[in-house]
Amino acid sequence: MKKILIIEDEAIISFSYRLQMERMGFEVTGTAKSAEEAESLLQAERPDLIIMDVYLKGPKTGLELAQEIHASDPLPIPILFLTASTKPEVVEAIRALKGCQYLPKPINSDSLEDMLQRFARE
Amino acid sequence: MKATPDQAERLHRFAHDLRNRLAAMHQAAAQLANGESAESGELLAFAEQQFFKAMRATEDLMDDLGVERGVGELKRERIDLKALVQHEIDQLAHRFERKKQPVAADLADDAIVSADPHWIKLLVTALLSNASKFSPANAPIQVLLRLIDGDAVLDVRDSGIGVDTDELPKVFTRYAMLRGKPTAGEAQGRSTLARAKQWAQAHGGDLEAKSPGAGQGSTFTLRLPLA
Repeated sequence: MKKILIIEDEAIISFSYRLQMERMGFEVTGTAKSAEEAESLLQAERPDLIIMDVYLKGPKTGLELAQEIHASDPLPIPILFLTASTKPEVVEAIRALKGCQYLPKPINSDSLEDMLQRFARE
Repeated sequence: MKATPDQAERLHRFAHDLRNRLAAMHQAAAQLANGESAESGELLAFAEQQFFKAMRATEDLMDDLGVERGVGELKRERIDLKALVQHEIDQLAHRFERKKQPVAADLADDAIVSADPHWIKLLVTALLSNASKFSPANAPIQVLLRLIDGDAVLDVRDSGIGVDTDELPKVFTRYAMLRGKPTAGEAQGRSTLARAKQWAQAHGGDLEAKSPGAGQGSTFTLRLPLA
């Protein structure tokens, strides 16, 4: 697993993720600020992993986008949610999506690397 | 929905504290941008201290207002803890190899627990990762799984920086300021162990820390009831 798409509405956070992931040896194929932007990037290229915030700019949340991806694809792209939400219902919604994981914000780079390595191996 | 007078007062104090911390972090960032390289280490440490205090204040506010941050409904299944622990050691190989830390695992058979694998994996990963972060290169890490009095007991022992006796209770406090730092510049989560204890207790178990003192290593002990 090498190619990652980042979906995050805060540009500075998205930039920081990209820097960290590239230092870890992963290729970031694109960054999107909204579900709609992400949809057009996904049509152009299929990444090996999606990094996504739960709440995005625009009408569609990250969770809704993830649910759509999973409903339309028998072998959906795994998604790692990076979220500041600690609501049990958000965690449960993420866990209901097969192959998806989450890390709570603030993200520490070591935990992020551990999780990316896990996706790369599994 | 309008806040009650007590809630409004609490939010006011929180906002005041948060603004001060953010202003301090902004000030540190501005000075760093001015290229004051001689003090950059101190400025970064200062900004980090403000960050931890702001996060601690946020956690306190959520506690005061009774905001639920539990684990939700546990999806329990029978888990072979020996296999899970071995798997998580393998998953963190990149971390141990980078610091050339040998990991010796002595894992008992029949450590079957009824638990939610999602949280138990995160818990075991947190303990292993913590042992690596707070130990220097080449320092051995021991992982011991035993069956004691109806519990599966997992010890993760490191020979790292240890914890002073006065700081031991703070190890499980979210965003507490502790003197010990990771040995190779690794990031400090500072809330993971607090969450790990919460995950253990949600399963009817517990997580404890012991250390003879600074520089003398630490042992984290997870107890989970056998199925």
